[in-house]
Amino acid sequence: MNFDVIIIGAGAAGNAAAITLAKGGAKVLQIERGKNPGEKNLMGGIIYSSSLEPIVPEFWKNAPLERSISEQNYWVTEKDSITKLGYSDDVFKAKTEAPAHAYTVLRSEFDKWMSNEAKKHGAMLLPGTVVLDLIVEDGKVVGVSTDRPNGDIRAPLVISGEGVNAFVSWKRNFGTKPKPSEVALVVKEVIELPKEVIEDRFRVSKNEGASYEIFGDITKGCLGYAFLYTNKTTVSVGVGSLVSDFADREIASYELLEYVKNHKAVRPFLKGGKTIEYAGHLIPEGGYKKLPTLVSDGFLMTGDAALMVNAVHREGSNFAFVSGKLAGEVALEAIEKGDFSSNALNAYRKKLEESFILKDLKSYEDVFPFFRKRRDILNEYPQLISYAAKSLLTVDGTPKGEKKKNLLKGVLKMKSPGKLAKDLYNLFKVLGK
Amino acid sequence: MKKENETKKSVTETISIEDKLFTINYDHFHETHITCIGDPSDWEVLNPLQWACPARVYTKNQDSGNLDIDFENCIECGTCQILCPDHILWVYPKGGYGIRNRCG
Repeated sequence: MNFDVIIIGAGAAGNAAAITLAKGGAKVLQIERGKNPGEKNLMGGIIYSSSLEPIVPEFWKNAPLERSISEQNYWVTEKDSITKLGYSDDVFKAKTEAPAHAYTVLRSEFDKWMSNEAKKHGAMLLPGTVVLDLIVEDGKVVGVSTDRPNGDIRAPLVISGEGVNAFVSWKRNFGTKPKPSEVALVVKEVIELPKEVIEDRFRVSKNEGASYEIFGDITKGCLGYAFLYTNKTTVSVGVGSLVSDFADREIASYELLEYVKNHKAVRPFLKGGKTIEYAGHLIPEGGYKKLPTLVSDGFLMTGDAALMVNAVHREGSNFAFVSGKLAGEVALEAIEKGDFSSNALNAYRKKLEESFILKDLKSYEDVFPFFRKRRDILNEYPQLISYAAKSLLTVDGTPKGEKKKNLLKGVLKMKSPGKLAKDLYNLFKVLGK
Repeated sequence: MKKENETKKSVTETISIEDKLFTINYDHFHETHITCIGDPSDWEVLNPLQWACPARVYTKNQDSGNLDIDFENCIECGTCQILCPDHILWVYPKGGYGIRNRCG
C-alpha cells in the first residue's frame, strides 16, 4: 500500500496531525508502539478546549472527559503553614452549546478516543510497532524502519510525534538527547474515591472539578511542584522535578510522592482513597534555546519530541495538539504540490512562529535557566510569603500600625531592600517578556 | 477500569514502591530492553540511577557489587538513558509489550 505520510506515535501531537491529514483526504499511516493508543501515555492531566476544538469540533459531546476545571488553585506550603490563592470563574464553565475552558482527562482512554477519530476519517493505524529508524536517501527522509519482520515502510513525508524520548529523531541528529537538568520527571498516582466524596471535599458540583498546583516545602527543595486534579471518580496526585534534582539530592521520586500525599495540604483530600495506578513520565524543559531542527527534507517534528512545552503554565498537550494540526496542514499543501523539500515544509516553522507556540516558548526562554541558577528564590520567597501572611493575620494585641512596621522590618531582615528590588526586577524581566 | 490491581492499602498509609508497581498492568516480553554497556561496578556514575529511577529498576548487588537491572519493573519513562547515556542502553520494549496504562 502507498502512503502520503507516516506519523510516528498516536499521542496528542500524532493524533492531531493524523486527524487533520485524514480529514484533508491524505493517505495516512500512523505507527504506535502500544498495543492500543494511550497505553504508553501519561500526563497530569489537563487539556484546553481552545486547542482541541479546531481539530475535533464539538469534541466535548463524545470525548472521554473527566471533569471541567472551573477552579484553579495555587498554594505555597511551608513546614507548618499553607498560603492559598485560588481563582474560580463562571467563564470557565461549560455553556449549552460551548465547551468548558479546560478538562481533566486520563490519557489511556482519551488517546484511544482521539486515535479513533483519525481512523473514522480514514487514517490507518499500525499499533504494537516500534519505529527504529528513519530511512534516509540522498539526505531526504523517505520512510521508516520498524521492529516488524520486513518492517520498512516508505512515504515521501514522515511526521515525528514520538514524544519526549525521541530516539528516532535523535539518531538522525534532528534534536539531541536532553541533559538531566533539561528534563523533568513526574510521578503520579490515580486514587479512587466515591464521586460524592470528591465533590464534597473539593467543593465542586457535578461534572465540575478543581486543580491545585502546590509549591514550597512540599517538594523538599526540588525545583518543581506537586499537583492535585479531580477526575470523575478518581483524583490525580503527582509531583515533578528535574531529573538532575532527584539524582543530585538523592531523593527518590516515589518517596517524594509519599511525602506529598501525606502533607497536610494534600492528605485531607485523599483520605480513605485507594491507589489504582502508579505511573511516571518525562517532560522536556529545554525550551526555545534547545529547539531541534523542526523541518527537514521529508520530515517534520511535533509535540514533546520538538520540546513544545511550557512547564511554568503546565501546558504541553495544547502545544502538541496545535503543532500536530499545523504540521498536518502544511503536509496537506506539500502532498497537493508534490513537494516535500525542507523549503516547502518550512511553512510549518512559519505557522509555529505566528501561533502562540513559538511566541510563548520564546518569551519563556529565560525562565528555566533563571530558576535553575536562582533556586534560592523558590526556597526563600515561600518563607517570605508565609511570614507576611502570618504577621498580618495573627491577632495578638499588637496595634496594626506597629504590625506593619514590624512586618516590613522582618521582611527586610530576610532580604535586603537592594536584593529584594533586584530579585523582583529579574523576576519581572524573565516572566514579563 | 479494572480493579484487581489496586493496592489493598488506604492511600494515607505509606505505600512502598513495591505496592506502587503492583498497581501497574505489564505485558512483559521475555527479553530485556535495558542493557548495561559500561562498567557495572562504576558506582560514581551509576549511583544516581538508584535515586532517580521511579521504578527501582537499578540496585546494587550486595554480593558482587555490580549493577542489578530488574527490567520487569520498568515504567518506560527513560530517565536512566538521560542520566547515564554511556552506561545504560535503554530502548523501547518490543512493540505491544511493556506497560499498559489503564488510566495514564
